[in-house]
Amino acid sequence: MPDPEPSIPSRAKIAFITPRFGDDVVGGSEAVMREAAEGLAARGWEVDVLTTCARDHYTWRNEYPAGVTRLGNLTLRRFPAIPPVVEERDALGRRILLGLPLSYDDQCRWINATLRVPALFRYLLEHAERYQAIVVSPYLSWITVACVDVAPERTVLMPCVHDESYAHLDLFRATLAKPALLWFLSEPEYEVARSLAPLPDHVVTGAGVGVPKDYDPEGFRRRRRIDKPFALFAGRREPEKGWDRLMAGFELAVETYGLALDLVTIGAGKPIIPASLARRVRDLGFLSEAERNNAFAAAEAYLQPSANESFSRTVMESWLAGTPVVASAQGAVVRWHCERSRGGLVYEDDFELAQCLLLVEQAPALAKGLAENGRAYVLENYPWAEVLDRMEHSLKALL
Amino acid sequence: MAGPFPPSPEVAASAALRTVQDLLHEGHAVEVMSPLPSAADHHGPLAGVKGAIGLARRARSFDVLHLQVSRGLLFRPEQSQARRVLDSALLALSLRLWRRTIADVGDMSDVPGGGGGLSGRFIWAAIDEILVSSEPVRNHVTAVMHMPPGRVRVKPGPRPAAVRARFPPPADLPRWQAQGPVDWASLTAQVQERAAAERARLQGDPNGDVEPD
Repeated sequence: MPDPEPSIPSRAKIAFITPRFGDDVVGGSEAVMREAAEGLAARGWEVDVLTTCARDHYTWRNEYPAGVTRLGNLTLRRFPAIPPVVEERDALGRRILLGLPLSYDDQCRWINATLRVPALFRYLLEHAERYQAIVVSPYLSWITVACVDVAPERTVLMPCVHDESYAHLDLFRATLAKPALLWFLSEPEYEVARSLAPLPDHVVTGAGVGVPKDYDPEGFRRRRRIDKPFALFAGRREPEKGWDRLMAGFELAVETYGLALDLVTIGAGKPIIPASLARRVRDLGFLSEAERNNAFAAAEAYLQPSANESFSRTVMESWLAGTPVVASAQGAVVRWHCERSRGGLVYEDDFELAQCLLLVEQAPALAKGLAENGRAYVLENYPWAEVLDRMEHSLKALL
Repeated sequence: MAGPFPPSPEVAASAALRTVQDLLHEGHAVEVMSPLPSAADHHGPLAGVKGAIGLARRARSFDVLHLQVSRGLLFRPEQSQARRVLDSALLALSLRLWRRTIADVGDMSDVPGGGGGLSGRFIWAAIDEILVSSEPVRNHVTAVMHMPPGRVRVKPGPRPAAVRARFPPPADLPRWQAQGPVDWASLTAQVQERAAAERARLQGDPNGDVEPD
């Protein structure tokens, strides 16, 4: 939870529009949107959250009831999603991922074959004038592409963009150019966006990271029956998030160098673990926020193999827990964090990943020293109070 | 409202969105149907026999049908002439079931053949009012499409874009900073050196200096 900062209530009304919202929803953009909404509501803004009834970003099945509820200081409005037309979405999506040309007509066919939420769009059409600002995120969502057209002069887009095939579509170039304001989570994210489209005004807000009051690493080990040192990976265990490459590099470290660290992974869904690593990789599934924090504190290192990050909140959480970070150098944002903070090691390939893991195992005091740098960096740059200051400062110009 | 709706490649989709916003602002209840999946409330064919049947079914549920004419809506130039004439006759019959029909043809760029011909004659005769983007288009519509001048109206121009607020630079906010001891660079260099040696040992040096085991 963000720490609310006492400030003068502005009474202005804002809509935060996000594809998913809920305690058990996993996702970087969703987490930042939720905490920003809660933080601004705690500062006196009147905040509505417009979202779907979906929990799972694969099926987009409507699992939460549609309707309006009050959640703390927020008014939560859920709308039923129309699930994707999987065959059409995947056929066109494959072309995009392969970098094959796709006409603008087909780009629109593709986005309309992903999740659609006409009821949310209809609500916004009818009620947009109630809101002094409309915040949408991420860029890669039908909801954003559609909603940015309704009141662009009052719309703030937090794109959460990284350099991936989808980002190069004309469809998103237009989306990035339309709103009144862009919020970026990091300087490298802004650089990526700038290379894609002519941009409106922007602010690098960063994202806030809540500082847990305490950690219970011993309790975590006991509850999970973990008696060996381990490295941790938290998030989506998908090829797009570097999971497959991580398995290959970890296998090299184990097979060639006798790495003793196990790998513990947490997150929604079922990961694919090679048979050769079945005894060395343990999936704990989805954990509560408190238990996740305990997992970060109990780990010897946190692994971030994904090149597709616009902020990487888990890296910050790891540093806060005093755990060093080992990250893929392919991810411009995480590399930037590691270099600025001097709190993380980055690797270019499996050999460098293996050496990073060996360093963590063989020189834990040095690795912990890196984590201290990381923690200082997070505390200095990403407390919610300062992130909310940046957001408020830019929002007030829209009023 | 029947026509393309965002997200859509059609320019007409933006015009449809603005019209719906204006109608809602005036207090009307509006439902939107687009030919393809979109942010509209419904989607389905809006041309040919299926389009005619779909529009006919809805005719008595609404006071007005607003057609946002675009590629493939009302007309299907890819069909044979006989088929086009038959489709248009059916579509015209279905349009006549509505209490009132308005067609926004914009600058006519999405109307095949300039709106003339037998197909066009059927359709335009079934429309109560045509909206156009400018006076020259209005003249064309009255001359070529034989619409009485009283039933052709030039739309008001697009609303002026709202002025986007600019905000002063956040000079009062702290600068981004980073800090840390020097051993990070040393550790990074060590990782890279050891990995390079191992890469050469296990894969072979790309320069040929070291042979793989």
